[in-house]
Amino acid sequence: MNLKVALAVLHFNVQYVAGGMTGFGVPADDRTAEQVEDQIIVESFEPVLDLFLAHPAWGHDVEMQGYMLEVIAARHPSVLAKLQTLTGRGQLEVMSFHYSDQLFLAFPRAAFDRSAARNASVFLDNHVPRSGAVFCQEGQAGVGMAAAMKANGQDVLVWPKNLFSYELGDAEPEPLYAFGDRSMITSRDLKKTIGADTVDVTWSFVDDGELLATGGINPYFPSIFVKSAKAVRDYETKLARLEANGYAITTVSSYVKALRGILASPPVAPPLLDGTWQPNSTDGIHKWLGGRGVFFRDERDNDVRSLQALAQREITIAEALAKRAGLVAPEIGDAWRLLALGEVSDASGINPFRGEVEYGIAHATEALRIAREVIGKGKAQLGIAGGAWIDAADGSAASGSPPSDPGGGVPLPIAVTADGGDRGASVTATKVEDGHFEIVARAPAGKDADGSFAVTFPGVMGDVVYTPGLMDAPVHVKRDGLKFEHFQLALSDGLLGLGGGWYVVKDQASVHTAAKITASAGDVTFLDETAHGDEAVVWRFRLVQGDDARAAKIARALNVTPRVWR
Amino acid sequence: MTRARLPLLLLLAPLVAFACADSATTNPVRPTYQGTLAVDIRGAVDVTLSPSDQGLDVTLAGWQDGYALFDPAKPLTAKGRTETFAESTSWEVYTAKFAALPASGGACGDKPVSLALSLARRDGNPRVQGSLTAYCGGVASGVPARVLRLTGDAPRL
Repeated sequence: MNLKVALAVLHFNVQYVAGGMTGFGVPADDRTAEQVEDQIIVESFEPVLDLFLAHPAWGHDVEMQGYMLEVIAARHPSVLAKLQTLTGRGQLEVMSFHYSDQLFLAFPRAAFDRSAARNASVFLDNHVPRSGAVFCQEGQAGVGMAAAMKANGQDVLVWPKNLFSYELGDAEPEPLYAFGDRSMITSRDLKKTIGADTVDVTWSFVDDGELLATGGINPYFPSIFVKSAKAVRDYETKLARLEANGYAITTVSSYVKALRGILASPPVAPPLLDGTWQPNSTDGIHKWLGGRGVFFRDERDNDVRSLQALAQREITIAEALAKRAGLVAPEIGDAWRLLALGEVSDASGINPFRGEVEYGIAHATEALRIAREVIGKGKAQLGIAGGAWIDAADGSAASGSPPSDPGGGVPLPIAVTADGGDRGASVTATKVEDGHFEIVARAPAGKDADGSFAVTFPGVMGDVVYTPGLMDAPVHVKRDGLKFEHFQLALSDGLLGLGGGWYVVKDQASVHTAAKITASAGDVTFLDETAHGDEAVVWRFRLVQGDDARAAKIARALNVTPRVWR
Repeated sequence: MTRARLPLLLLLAPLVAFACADSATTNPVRPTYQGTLAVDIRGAVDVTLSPSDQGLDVTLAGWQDGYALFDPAKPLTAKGRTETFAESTSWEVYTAKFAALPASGGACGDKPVSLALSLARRDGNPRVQGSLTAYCGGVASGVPARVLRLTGDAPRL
């Protein structure tokens, strides 16, 4: 067999300018969120549908969040009809893994699970089938996605080629990998001979879908973000030439189905770490978790993400308590929806403007408010008038006294350091129990608004030990198999091994920046380049001595299913 | 922002000056906080958060716009709450709910409007940030009609 195909991922994001353009530049360019969303659909999405309606023999993949389909269904019924026609033919496949274009790798999986469930409902309700193939916002990819894909009836992950090479060097990827009990391909062109068969894959487009029909103009330029007939024609010509050269213009699912006929037993995917699609230009996921962009004076990565972690905890607690109390609280679903929207990646990267930062914060605080209200109702339902200890793991609640003062400090168990720049910084330790400490790093407010804050934990070389996004337990990845100089990890439950029997767990409601690891040393640094030097800052970590199981238990109790006093 | 193609955007970027801020510490006796917050960047509102026997007296006044959701000439006042987190003492969140009459031509049509305030403060800093979220109908939940972003300094008086 000569399998010769041209593939594409047109990655659409109706939250491209989350919250709209108001306040971005001159008032004449102000656009509400709805206006920006409508412009994305009319100027950049519909022209793509029209192109493929005109070429019934061509197949393609588009990617979008469920929220975009909601907007299409609510305000653009004719576009929905076109999409239904194309997906009904199997000509266009819609990849969709999350309801909002959220930074799902950075949070405990409950947020993703609720998002995925809502996403599935949106597609079902609007009679648009989802592809079995998966690509995500910011090209997020991680090994924990395999089980989530299975749960959602999806079977092929498109791993971004630049993330693959950043982690593993220039080795040519295999056409197909076993990825858990799912499959994985990379978005890299390849030519391969397999026995008597040949595989020749070219990717005609893997980029923001908004750019295809607009000649590369993005929605931040509303006056010129318009359909370009020439741009569409140029892409049409490109595909026609590929077709003339023997390439089938087809979908990822169709390709992989054919590929499985050639490669019945694909190799297991190599060890891979959670990441995003352009790690060289964004310093991996750090751009969304502490890295500064061009509007850095308005950025607040740690505020955005730690506040969302606080909100997620509160919703988790409220949901568990309501269930235990037998309280019907549909507003919990509303809170999860708001949180999903707020967790949009663009609230903290690549170059968020003030409106996007505040969008992420505003949705998180409202989600938190709803959750706190449900907690009050749940306590009332259980007849608890005063404060109570509530366990998010099972919703159990018992009246009690507030937590006592943690007591005096102890010497730092290991040489943790903090850097607050001109304003100075301090680090203290408090013993929680044997081999378990709270580490607090502080910096006072200084005079200069520009600032950064960093905390470094000493470590020793060894496996990279962390809990990948959408997983519940830590994994070990051999460091010597990885080719990068450094890597940034989101840490979905906050846990990272330091080697020598030590683990650090970031308290995500306090510090939710990426953890920088290197190939040549064991030290780990958490850095927020978007910290504001004229504001006081306090970061809290747990330092744990023991094994993976103990560290994971503490991480879960801190960030996933805490027991709290309310 | 999804992409880094921004040379022109640099020219368009608003210049934002940050006021120097004094660090504040949490006091067991809750203080009154007051300040002017930006509303969706271009608007403004004066906020006052005063402790009372019943919790927190919240006033939002001096609106420049009602966003077709409420009468901007009338202050929004309500009894609210200061939410704290025993396990995350860095954070305080101020919440309150308000009711507004139907606004002609607004997103809620002839339905009443429920408004929910949620403002977070971190590490005792003067800055607060959050939202005033509008819902159509008498309940402050569901799919919002609008999420107004509120940010700015509200230091203790």
